[in-house]
Amino acid sequence: MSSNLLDPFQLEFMQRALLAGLLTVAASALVGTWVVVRGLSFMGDALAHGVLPGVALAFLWGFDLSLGAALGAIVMVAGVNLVHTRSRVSDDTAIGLLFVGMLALGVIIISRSRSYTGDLTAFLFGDILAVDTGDVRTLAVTAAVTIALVVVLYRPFLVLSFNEAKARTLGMRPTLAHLVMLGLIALVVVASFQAVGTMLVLGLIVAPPATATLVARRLPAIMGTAVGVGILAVYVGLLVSYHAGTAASATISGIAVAQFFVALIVREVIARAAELRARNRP
Amino acid sequence: MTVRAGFALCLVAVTLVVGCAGDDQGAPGDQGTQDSSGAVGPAPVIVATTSILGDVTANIVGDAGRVEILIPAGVDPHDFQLSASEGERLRGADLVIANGLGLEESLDDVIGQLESEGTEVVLAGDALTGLVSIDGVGDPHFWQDPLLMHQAVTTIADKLAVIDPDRADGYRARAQAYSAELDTVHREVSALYASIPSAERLLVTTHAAFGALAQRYGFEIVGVVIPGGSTLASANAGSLADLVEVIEDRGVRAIFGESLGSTELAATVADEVGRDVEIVELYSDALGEPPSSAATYLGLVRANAELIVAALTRP
Repeated sequence: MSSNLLDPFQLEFMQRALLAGLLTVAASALVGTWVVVRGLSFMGDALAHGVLPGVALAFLWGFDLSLGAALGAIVMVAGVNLVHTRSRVSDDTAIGLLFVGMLALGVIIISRSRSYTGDLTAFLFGDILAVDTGDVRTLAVTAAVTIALVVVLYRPFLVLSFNEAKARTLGMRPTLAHLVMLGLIALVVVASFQAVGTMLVLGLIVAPPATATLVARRLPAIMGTAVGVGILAVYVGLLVSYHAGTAASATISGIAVAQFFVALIVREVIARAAELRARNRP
Repeated sequence: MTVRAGFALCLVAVTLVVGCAGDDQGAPGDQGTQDSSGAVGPAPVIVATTSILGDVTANIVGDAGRVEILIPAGVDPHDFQLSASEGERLRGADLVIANGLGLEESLDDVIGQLESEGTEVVLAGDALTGLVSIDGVGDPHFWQDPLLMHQAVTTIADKLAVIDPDRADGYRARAQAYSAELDTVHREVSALYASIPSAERLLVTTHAAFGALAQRYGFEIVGVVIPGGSTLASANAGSLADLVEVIEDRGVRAIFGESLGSTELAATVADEVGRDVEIVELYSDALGEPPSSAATYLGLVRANAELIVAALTRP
């Protein structure tokens, strides 16, 4: 019994995958809580995929892929901001424009170049099983920076999320806080996409905090629960991939999303049962 | 430098991206209207989908027509996306030579459409006998066996003779000469492979792309890093762990990757195995770029044989 749950992790690549997953989820679940609370999931998605042209150019011109991704993220955020301030279209339209534009540009660059050998699949789905120690180190630094910033900026983010007008009167500069928050999302995406792929990063940004909001009320509790739920998804996902032979990154993302629905169903069942009990009482 | 500047220009003019596609990579300049046989018909334009088929076809066509390559050397046919101008090139061709068997994943529909619109199409992989099948589907990477390519050469030459009867004798003669070269290369690489003791003829590859080679030259494929013939599939932890075990048990000495794909997962597997396992990149789905010895199809077959023999017989 216990050997089935622990033995796979005697393999070094499984240990590295687990470690990479845990570090990613530590950062993503914390930032993701703000994403879920503030309704920034679409922006997160756009950031995760909109960095593609930067990555493709970095690959072609031989500079660091993360740097390319970071540049892509900056263009993305600046573009959304420009559309938002200079036109009357809504935020999600601005995001949609930039998202599709950047993704299209990325695919055009990749398919026009004769020497691009990194493929789109790896960018989207990654390969958590191919993570090396350098990737793990990058993820550890990112996780540390993210945790520190989330703790230090807890107040400004909180005020920004629940009362932006009040933040302005308190002199907390909500626009700056908003940009820092987008920067944090970008940081998590940029640091983890090479190791685990953008789909898994996004899954771990959105799903664990969403699940946590079903079971916890206060923000610190949501954050703690999100990290815990995310860790469980990484561990179970890798185990399933090992025993059932399923694609690793996709299995972890899938389980993270499945957790949400399981939690939702359990909550509904409990609520119904309580309702029935209350009704049957005279 | 100029490449970079050109690229930047294309990016600036991204809405005019069609203009970017018009640089007709690798197309020979002249129309080849002069033919040694003195025929009068216009020289046919033949478009081959892959660089491998392009090279083989060019050997059959000689100076009787113009051969263009759709998917250039160094690009993975599994991932290729057609541009509008390339679609136009296909439509304008007198003959389209495709690999078939699902290799050009995104082109399958286009090729079917071309055929229904009356463009002449040869699917080189379709008429082969003795093709290896993976899960009931023919392995599209048939060119790893030069004798299967010999059959394809005959198919292509026959089709050329039908669409351009004036130059039929020339096509047949060149096809015969080229087939003789294929047979010679086959004998050469057979002799090379014979230097590997039969118990050590074990292949572990990143994708299932070397089934034809394994069958022809008596290799056993003991494992594949990413299961499934498509480069779109993902790895799973269970099969990687099994692969590590097989490599340890059978004493496999090398993992063969592909020139077009990533070898990161292969490196992960090699690290996991306690012993020294070499990672060797073979030429799989496209020719090498010109300075490489695999810039022609015959060179590719030789280069792969040399790489495999060197990896499996190293001290």
